[in-house]
Amino acid sequence: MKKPIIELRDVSKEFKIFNNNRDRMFNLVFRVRKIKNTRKGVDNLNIKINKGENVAILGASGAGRSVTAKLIAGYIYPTTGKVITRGKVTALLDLRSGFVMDFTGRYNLRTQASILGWSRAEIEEAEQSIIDFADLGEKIDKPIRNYEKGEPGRLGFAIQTYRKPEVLVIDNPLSVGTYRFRQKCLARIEEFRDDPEVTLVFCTAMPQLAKRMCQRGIVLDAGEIVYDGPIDDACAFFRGTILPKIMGKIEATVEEDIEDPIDEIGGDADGFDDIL
Amino acid sequence: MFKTLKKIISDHIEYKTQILRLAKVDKDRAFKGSDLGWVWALFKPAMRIAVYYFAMVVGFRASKSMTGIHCSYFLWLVAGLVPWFYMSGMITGGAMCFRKYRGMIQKTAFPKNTIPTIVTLSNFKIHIVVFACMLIMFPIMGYMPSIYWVQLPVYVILMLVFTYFWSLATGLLSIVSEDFLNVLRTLSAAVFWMSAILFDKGSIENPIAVAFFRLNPVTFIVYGYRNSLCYHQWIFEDMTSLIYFLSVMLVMIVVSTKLYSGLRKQLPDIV
Repeated sequence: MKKPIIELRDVSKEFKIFNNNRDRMFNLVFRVRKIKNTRKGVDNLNIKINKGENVAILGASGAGRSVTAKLIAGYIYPTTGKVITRGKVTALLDLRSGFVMDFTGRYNLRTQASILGWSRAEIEEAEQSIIDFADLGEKIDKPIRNYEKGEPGRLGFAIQTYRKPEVLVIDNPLSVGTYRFRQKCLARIEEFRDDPEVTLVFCTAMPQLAKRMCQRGIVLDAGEIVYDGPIDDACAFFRGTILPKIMGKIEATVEEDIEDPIDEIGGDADGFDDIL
Repeated sequence: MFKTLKKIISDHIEYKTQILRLAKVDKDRAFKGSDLGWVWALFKPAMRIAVYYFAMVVGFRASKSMTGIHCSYFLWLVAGLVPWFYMSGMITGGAMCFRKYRGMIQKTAFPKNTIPTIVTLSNFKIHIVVFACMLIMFPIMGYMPSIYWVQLPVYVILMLVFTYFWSLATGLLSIVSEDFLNVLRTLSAAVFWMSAILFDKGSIENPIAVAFFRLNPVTFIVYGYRNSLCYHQWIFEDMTSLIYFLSVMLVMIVVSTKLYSGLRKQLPDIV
């Protein structure tokens, strides 16, 4: 029996909160284990994802979706437990990370591709396709600082997804670019979804999107897994159990300055209506 | 500690292409926006050498008391200042490396122990250009290369290794404490004056000063360059200094790997 490509074993993540750097230094030097102020990220996660599975991680804002995505991607480390990935992880968590704003898109493209391990010949071969996918045209030779909102993200997406990944982790996806570009992004992700060689982990607060992309759903609430099963049931659970809690909280605090309920649910709703 | 050291080495081998590319980007960033660009890499050290030469020769008349060197006082001065320019950049620049690459630490899975190497190599690229200019100056001014020059790469490698582990240790401590970074900035000027760069350490008899020179890695590297270029002395002719330097470097390696081992997993949370 093949081992899962992603395994989280008793994974918990706690963020220590210090009042100042002096306390942090004290903790470091004297190895004080018990810290008074901590913030729970996730608690006791046990997840196994097999190769080729498409799994949605559903949760409201603060439920632990992003923390889980970062743990799988290797950006952060668990406080206890173990995260095991048996494949190369491509993470679409921050599409602009690594870009140097003063340099041109082309320079950044070549740098990012180099960091991903591509050879010079591979970069030359891929360059124009990436530029075309990102719809940047002549802007590719302008500094990224001068790009409009969403354009750096388009370039980042095009670079990261040019090659077929083994494991693709996406968090709060696709709030980049125009409607047409988002359709292109979705089409590309759907290619990966349909490829049995690719494992997809899709972190979102939008059940409709999760249902479109995945066959299995894991629902998080306050950092813990509250449901793990087929996507239809996971979405129904999310809608039936989690959303009312959030909406109830919104109604109860209607006097407070909550601008947009979508922020409470989590995720960026801009343009999602036209995706779905 | 050995496990951490092994991981550091294996990460550097695995990611060597990426490290070289990022070092290039780091260097390009340093000169971005400047029309003169790379010229500053030579102009700044040239200005400083000129100022120190003026002060030491015209002001202090230090050149009159120099003996035992196989070159002019000017070249003796250059041979000491060139490695100092690199090391002074790394005293604070190395300590800032993790702060500078905050985004990379928080938003990528790139091995964090390679970040000091990126900064080290970026500064080293500039040093190599200045180093080459220094070597060219010797024959131009009538002092031909000697057999002792072959040991220069040894000092260069020792300097690189030391500054890497220095950056690893001080970079981690600087994240946790802004005061530590301020202390380093303040000490940098003190280290310059106390490393026998502008005066000959051989003429100093004070036992405390002599002990300090022995323990000071900057003095070892500066006089390594000078021994090769000016004094015509082999590295093994002063085994005491070599042993002291290697001991200090060993302490630096132990401290930095222990710190990294302890802080590695917390780094994305605290940076």
